Amino acid sequence: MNSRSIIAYLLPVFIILLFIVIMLSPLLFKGNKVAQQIEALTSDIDNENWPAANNNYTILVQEWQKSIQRIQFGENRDDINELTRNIVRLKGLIKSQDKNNALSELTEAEYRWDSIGM
Amino acid sequence: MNEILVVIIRGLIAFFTLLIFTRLLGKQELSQLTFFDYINGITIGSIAASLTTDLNNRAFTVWMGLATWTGAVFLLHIITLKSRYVAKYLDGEPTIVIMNGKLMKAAMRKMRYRTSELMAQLRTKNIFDISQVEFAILETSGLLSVLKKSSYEPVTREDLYIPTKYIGLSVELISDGKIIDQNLKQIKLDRYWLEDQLKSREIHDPSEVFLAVIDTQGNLYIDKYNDCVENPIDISDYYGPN
Repeated sequence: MNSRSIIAYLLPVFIILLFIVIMLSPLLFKGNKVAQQIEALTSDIDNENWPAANNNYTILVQEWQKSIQRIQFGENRDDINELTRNIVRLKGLIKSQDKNNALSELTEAEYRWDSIGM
Repeated sequence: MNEILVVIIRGLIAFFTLLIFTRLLGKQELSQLTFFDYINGITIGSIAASLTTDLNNRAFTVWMGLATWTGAVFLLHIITLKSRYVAKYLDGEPTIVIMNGKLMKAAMRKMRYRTSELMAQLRTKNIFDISQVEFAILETSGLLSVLKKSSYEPVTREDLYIPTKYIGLSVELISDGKIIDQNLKQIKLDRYWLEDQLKSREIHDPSEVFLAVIDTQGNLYIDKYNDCVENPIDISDYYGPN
């Protein structure tokens, strides 16, 4: 078997593996920074430390935007949009210092984050 | 989320996956597909389309659906290759609908095959008189194979004892100006021989040749880039794009 025919056999295998990696990107590359920020925010809001919650919220938004770039090719659009909505609503709840609803929103966001790629 | 970019990437994934999977499934001719093969093809295509545009599904989930269908079809191909009984069980058997010039009514009724369909399929084979047919067999693909009565078959050279020559396959030696060394080697010739042949026809470089083909008698057919027909016949009466 010469090198050309080896390439002819290996190329489709390589392409399929590459596709699988792209499609599984939500599972492989989602990281844990968003989860850490959700945890930090939960602690801030629980302790009613609103200035720290504001700071951590900004970082959460940045981390979420970065994650979207990595997971968008494999994850379904609805899940991404729902988590984005949770994060957007959270901004208003932190602003109005609404502890109960903010915690509830964060719990939902955490659940959605955990289900990404699963 | 950049939806356009996602659709492009998912489209490329679906396109090349389909290409690879269909190569894996082999070269069954479209006209020989059974109804089940046809439905499989449509379903696999439809899954690939939803992988591209249905962003509300996870790409890998849909892709696994595509792989499962392809895998199942591939598995059935393997099983039907190995077992003649399973092949017949799954694909059915060809059925004789005309035997010795007589319609097989029971077989036709069993297959819910109408005489109007039979007549239509005979007409597509240029048979307008059913009495010319000795045997007609309905294949599993739904196509009709017909054997005419020998008195209606055209005369062949063999009937007239006219000697014939072996024709065989022609071999391409130059395509798009490039010499195909592999083919030259196969027929035990070399570039020197080919260049001599080209020189004898006043061709100084293979790049001047669009196509060069040699037949089994050793006749070389050469079509050059610049040997255009002076007054080509234009059969078109339409000035738009073809």
